[in-house]
Amino acid sequence: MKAEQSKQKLILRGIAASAGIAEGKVKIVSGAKDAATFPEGGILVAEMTEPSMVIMMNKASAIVTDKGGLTSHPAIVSRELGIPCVVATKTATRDLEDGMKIRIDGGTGEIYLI
Amino acid sequence: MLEPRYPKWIDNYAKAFHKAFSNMVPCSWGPVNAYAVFALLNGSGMSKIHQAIIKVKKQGKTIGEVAKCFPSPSSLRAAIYFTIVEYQSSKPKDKNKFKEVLEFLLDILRHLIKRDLFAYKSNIAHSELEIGKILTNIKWQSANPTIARDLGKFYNSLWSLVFALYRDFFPQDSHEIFGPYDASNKFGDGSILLVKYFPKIRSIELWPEMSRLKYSEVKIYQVYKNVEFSCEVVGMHSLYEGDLINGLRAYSVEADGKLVDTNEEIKELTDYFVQVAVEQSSAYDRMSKEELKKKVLEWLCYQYVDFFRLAEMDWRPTAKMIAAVKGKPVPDRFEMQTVPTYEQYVSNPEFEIYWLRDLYKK
Repeated sequence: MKAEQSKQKLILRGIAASAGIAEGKVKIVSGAKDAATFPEGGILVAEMTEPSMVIMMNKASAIVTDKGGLTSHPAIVSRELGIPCVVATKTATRDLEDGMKIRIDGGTGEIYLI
Repeated sequence: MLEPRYPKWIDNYAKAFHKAFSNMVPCSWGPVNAYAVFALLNGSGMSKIHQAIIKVKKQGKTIGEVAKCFPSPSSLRAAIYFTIVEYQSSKPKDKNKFKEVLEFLLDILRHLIKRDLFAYKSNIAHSELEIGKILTNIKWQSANPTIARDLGKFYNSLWSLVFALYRDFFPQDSHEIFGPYDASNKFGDGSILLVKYFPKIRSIELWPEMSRLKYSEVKIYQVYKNVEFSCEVVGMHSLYEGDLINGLRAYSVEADGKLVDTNEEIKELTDYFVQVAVEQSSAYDRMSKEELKKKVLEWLCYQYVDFFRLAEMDWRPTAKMIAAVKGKPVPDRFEMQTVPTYEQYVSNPEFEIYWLRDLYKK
């Protein structure tokens, strides 16, 4: 376990909005136009979620946003979907890149590069 | 020097709203800064509500009849908040009329809500008798993690539709969560019942294209075990402790009172509402700033749509309200990056509590 964890680099922190751990590939989205290319199980990363992203949110294995609080849209939806969510990272859309493999801990608000 | 006296409910209101705002990000709310729109009304919005109140009082309507016009108590809490915000910026301030409106709305809220009036942590609008009937009469389906996830997607599809129809300042008009209620009599120790309610989704008056929407309202009843629920000011600002996926024990879904009894139907409805939500979301891209300001006024009035009907009034914004905002600059977003401390919130004239106390100052 320790050897595994040492391979993971903590790259981002935010508010722990929905508990759980997920690993997957980042997909940065900004609106409905991204729905066609959003993969099943992808990690949705956005400045902030909005209703047009509903298709992607329903496919996501986790959600990460730059903005938001515990009762913001991504937080509420993630809890109902039972997927991890970290909000208010401030720089997720800048620091993460499409295809990056990350691990999200929605219980601590920590995001690791794996 | 003694603090001027004001009713105790104002402190309870302030604590509930400050706690709620601490978990929100108002600077992200759109599609336009509605606070700036309210600030332009100068009492014209309040006057319309006041007129309706006078009419229903003359008609001899009971508080029970009026309360039926507000399917979402959370919407009423928001309406009270927006009225105080309008008072804050009105010049001159017609204290008597504003107070009459606030007291009337509070009386309705007190009629609807059994305890925790401003939803500091719960949204209790059903009596024990009513909950007993729900637990007994609802056609319950057994849950499992797959169904729990499908229900999560179904909930998200409805939430997205409501968000697309009402946006950030008014979604509570069509999205309510009641609870937590004790369900242990039927489902064993540690069970809670939540009622997730989506009224007014076929909002034809706001969006004529919604006439094609198949349903007017949806209810999702969910019983959880080892899950704790709380909410903040509005029921849809839900917070949970525990595992919602493995903790779901039973559920039932109704669309316009009709049971949705298979998982396939729930998935079909999910896809359907998703499609409508995505289409509706694009409506704002086609709207000018003037149209967006007018939409804010429509949303503000739509909170009272059934109340205006009861008063035999046109629900739409008055000419005075429209003239108050027409041509006036309104920012896209509300500029508040951080939430003030509680002391700042209740004492600074920049926030509405100062003015609420002012309204009641003797």
